[in-house]
Amino acid sequence: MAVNAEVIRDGVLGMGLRGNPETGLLRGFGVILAINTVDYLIEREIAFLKAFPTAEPMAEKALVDAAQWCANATFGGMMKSAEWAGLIAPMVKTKVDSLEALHAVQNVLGWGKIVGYEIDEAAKTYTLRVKHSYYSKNYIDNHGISTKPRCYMWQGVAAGNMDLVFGSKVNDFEAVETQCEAKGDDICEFRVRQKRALFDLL
Amino acid sequence: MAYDSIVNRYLGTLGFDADRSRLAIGGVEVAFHCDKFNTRILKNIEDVMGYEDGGRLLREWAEKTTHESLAKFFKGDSEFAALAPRGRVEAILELFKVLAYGAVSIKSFGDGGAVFSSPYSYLAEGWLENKKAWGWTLRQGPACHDMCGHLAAAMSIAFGKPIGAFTAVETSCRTMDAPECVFEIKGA
Repeated sequence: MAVNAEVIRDGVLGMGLRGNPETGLLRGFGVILAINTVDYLIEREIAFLKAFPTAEPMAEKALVDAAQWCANATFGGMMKSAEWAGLIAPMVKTKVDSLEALHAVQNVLGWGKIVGYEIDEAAKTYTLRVKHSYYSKNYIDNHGISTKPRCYMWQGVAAGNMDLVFGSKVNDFEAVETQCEAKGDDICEFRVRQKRALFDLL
Repeated sequence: MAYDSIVNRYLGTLGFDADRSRLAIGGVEVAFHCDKFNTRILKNIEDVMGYEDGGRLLREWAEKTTHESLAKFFKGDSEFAALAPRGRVEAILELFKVLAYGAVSIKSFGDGGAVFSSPYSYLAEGWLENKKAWGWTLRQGPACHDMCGHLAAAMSIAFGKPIGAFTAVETSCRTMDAPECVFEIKGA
């Protein structure tokens, strides 16, 4: 059975994703979810970066790192959850199926839409393409066209997807955002490769 | 459940745009994120900026964006407008449960401020999950900066005041081994 993204989408959305009326917590897929406004999610990151204009690359790395850990812990947890076993696991036979199932789940979280990908299993390289990333319009509306890519969460998640499916640990892979709607490109594109070991650099 | 009609009206605004894979509720765009992401954002921002500055950044942006989203949803809402300030805050706390911020109770309430408590504040719950799964340690300072902002915004909306009308401090936090998180909100 191939991965059916619509079945996954309807199954996840059909779970009634809202906080428990008593505890106010939303536990599902082995994690605790919350619903935040996109404005909050983006503006806290941009304010953080603006606080460190001379050390922006380090601050950007901290944002990407949070998302890469999130991908590992969250989607790794999801892949071991009862919900995954019941709804998704029957569709998953190969590593590429796992990747497509992750895409299907990621496409219902309000982050924007994964519209394409390429994977080279031998070279362990992966390209992910996203439209309507939640960063893009918000960034342009509030800060103007960006001079550089801005989708830090997606960058970490793209690398995290490969950590999960083709890697052995968190940060096995690294991603760069090569195109970004926030800087006027038609799409956001992320290229992922395995991190080079030290001896590769010698 | 108290405030059923307000909660149901809020839930009725939840929409998923499949073409864009985007979510909205109450007229504003929202997204799901997990405790792992939000606690690491918290930790990384505090690590880089320092506890005070990092906490202030998260608190202020939570207050601003929550105030804007609540003002948008309740604009022209006669049922909400008819409630006393305490009732308005209670209704907002039910919406916070929908958003999965955790259940919050009012311990005391007056025109000049309020005290709230929560045995389930979302970020504290997430931090404690990390402690169990990844060996994170108990904290030296409270963690629920975003809840402080959400509650300050709730008070401002309830009293029809602008952003910044109330200040919020978390005086006790489960991430510091307290039995519950306690938030003191005062008029600025």
